[in-house]
Amino acid sequence: MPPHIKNNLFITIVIFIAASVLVAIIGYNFYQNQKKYISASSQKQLMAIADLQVREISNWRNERIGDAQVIINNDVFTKSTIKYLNDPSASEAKNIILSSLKATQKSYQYKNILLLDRNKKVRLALHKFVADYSLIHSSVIDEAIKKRGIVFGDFYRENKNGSVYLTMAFPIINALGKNAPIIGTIVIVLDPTLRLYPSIKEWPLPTSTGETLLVRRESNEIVYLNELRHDKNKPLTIRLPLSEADLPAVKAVLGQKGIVEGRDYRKKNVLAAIGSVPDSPWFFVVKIDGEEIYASLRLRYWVTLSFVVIGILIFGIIVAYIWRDQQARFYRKQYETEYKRAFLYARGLIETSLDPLVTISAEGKIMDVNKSTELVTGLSREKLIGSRFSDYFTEPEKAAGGYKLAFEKGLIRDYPLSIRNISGQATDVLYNASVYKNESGEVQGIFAAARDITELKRIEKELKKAHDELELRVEERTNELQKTNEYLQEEIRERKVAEKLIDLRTRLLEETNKELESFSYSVSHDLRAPLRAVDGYARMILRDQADKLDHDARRKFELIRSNTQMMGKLIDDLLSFSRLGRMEINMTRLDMEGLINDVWKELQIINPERKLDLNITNVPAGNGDRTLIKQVYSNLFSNAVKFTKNRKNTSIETGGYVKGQENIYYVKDNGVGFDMDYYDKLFGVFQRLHSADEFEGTGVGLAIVQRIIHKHGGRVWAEGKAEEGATFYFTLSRKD
Amino acid sequence: MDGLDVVIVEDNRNDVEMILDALQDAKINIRSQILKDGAEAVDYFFNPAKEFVREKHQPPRLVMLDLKLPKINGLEVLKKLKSSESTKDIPVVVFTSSNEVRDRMQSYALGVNSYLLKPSDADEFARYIERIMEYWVIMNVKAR
Repeated sequence: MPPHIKNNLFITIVIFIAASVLVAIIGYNFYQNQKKYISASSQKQLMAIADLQVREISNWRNERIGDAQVIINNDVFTKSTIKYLNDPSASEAKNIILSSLKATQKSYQYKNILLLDRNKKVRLALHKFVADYSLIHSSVIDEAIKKRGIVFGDFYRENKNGSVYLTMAFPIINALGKNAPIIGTIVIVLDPTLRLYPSIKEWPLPTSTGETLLVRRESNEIVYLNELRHDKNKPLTIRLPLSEADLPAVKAVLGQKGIVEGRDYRKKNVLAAIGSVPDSPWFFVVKIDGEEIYASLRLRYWVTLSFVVIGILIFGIIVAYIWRDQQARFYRKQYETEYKRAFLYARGLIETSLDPLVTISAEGKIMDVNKSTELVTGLSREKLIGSRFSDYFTEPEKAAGGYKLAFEKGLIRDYPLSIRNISGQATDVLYNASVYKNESGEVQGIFAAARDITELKRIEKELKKAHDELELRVEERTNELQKTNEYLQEEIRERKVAEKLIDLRTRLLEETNKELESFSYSVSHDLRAPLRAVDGYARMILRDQADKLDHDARRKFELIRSNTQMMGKLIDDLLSFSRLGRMEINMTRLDMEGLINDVWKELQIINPERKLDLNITNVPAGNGDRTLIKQVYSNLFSNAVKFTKNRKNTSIETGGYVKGQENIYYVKDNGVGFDMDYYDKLFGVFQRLHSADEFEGTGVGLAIVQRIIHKHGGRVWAEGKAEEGATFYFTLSRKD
Repeated sequence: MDGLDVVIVEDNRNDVEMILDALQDAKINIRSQILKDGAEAVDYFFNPAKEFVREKHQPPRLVMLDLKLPKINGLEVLKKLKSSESTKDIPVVVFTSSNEVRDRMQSYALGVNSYLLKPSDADEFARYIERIMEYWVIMNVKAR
């Protein structure tokens, strides 16, 4: 749970508790107010009832007093009474008295009306009465005489378990004035059950427990004077001691007035209005059970409690709802942010796609497009969405067929179409489309992506063009080739003929070579053998018959010998020169300096008479046939030695250097040199620039040198000047 | 001293004369047999029934062999000599005018003891003969 939500939860709970407490307080106050209100209204009610009841009693008394007054103010009655009391036989007076009393009795259903004389002896009575009646009522009669007015007596019981009655007495006074003599007394017996009790019993409001009590004090007791609602004992039989201070009746008797709370004769909590009844010894208690008063309060208590509980519950629900809503709002916001980001991402991808993308409904209407679609059609998306998909193609029917096929199969690949731009330009595309579904797997439409293949087509076209051209060229070339082939065939035929010729020639050549070889062989044997023989015999003659020959003959034999020897050498040289042509070169890495030293040593052995020094400077190693390169140096050194024989200080130098891909070697001497005019003849076979008398030799040496170096792929040249020495150069490749 | 000193296989009469002259001139007294072609040489060593059976059946101290011979050439003769148990120990000196590398190589491959080129110069020639005989016949004899 994120911290701020936790915080929110805490705040929410605090708010909830505070609200609950507030509701509880309001509920409590409400309840208390209700209680007060009910209590107050009950009190008011009780007071009102008390007033009413007291007034009822007063009214009742006043009515009775009125009745009495009628008799008192009746002069006829008074005169008749005087008459009758003075003369009990005065029947006319007696009748008047009786009729008056009967009229009064009738008006209120009085129990009895009695006429007493001054001695409190009953002289007339409407009904029978108990004998000691005057004793019972003497105090009332006395008080009435004393007060010279109407006096109410108290409730009394005629006998045990008898009915309760009240008495009212007033004297009959002759004439007016204060000191007029009292003739007699009228006592009227009242039945309280007829008017008094019912009027007290009657409440102006419906009540189940409310009642009005009349009580009086009798020494240390109180006596209930009326019929009790909750006690079926007869009035005046119920007495309770004053010590029961809780009794509202006791409180009333003891002089309290107004509203009191207490416990009534049934020991039940009651609310009571108490007070005294004016002009009487009675006290009234108008009471109602607390239960009844608070019955409505209890209901209100429960209602209030229910409201409080419901209120708290509602608050709880509201708070929970708010919290949940807040949380939901937070998560929704988070979700919305995420959703928005995801949406923007997804939408962004769609919009940035270079491929025109659309979604198509089952009716073939465009539902959504991306930027590329707008560009390729040249229409805004507002115009595109809702319009027919197939309208934007050069072949609308084919386009419609495409999406129908996609709906049918679920997907299509590489469906070729051409989108028509508003400008009329068409873009060739390949469509990939597939149906997409909602969460419950129902097909919603088609998602179609077009791939612009304009460039591809262009390339394809170019390729095709190139291909066609190529084919054309191939064809041309094929034709050419065919021609060439034919030509070649022809040539091959000719070539074959030529080859046959060459074959023939080669064979001829081989034969010639063989012949040449056998010729060389023959020469070496056959040609030299006779020469040797000539020399041999000449030698023998010179040795054995010298004494028989003169000087000239001897000289000529000597010439024979030297010539034959010369010829032998020529033949040898010729042979070795021709042998070179047939030799194969055996290339190796050459330690040139070592090779030069070997050659030089051999040369010194051959020429022991010459004091020779060779100056070797920096000879690079090279590649060549050891035997042949040795021959080259041998020939060059021989020449150098030979042509320096007349020099006092012989100087022979050899060396070499690297130049480009070649090694250049040289042999330099300070001999007779040569005239550059005859350079052409220098390397020719049997070509000599000096006379054989001067310098021996056959003239083959340099020819052999040239032949060997040429066989190595190198060059040979010379620099010289007559009498100033010569330098011979040759090159060898640096590569193997 | 038993047997021959040298068998000379040489078809050129001039050369034979020069050889003999050289020996005589140098006062080298050795017994020699001249065979004038390859066939004679083969017969001499491997065909005793023939007319010129070698004397006493003793092997010579040296065979001096020319290469260019009628009938059977020198290399053939050399091959036979050097591949036969009875003759392979006889020293053979090829004395020829052929300076062909091929001849020289083949001779050595067949087991020739020395290959010498006949010099054109008659003085040289004589000197060669002296040297050959001194070395192969006289020095070898003394060494025995």
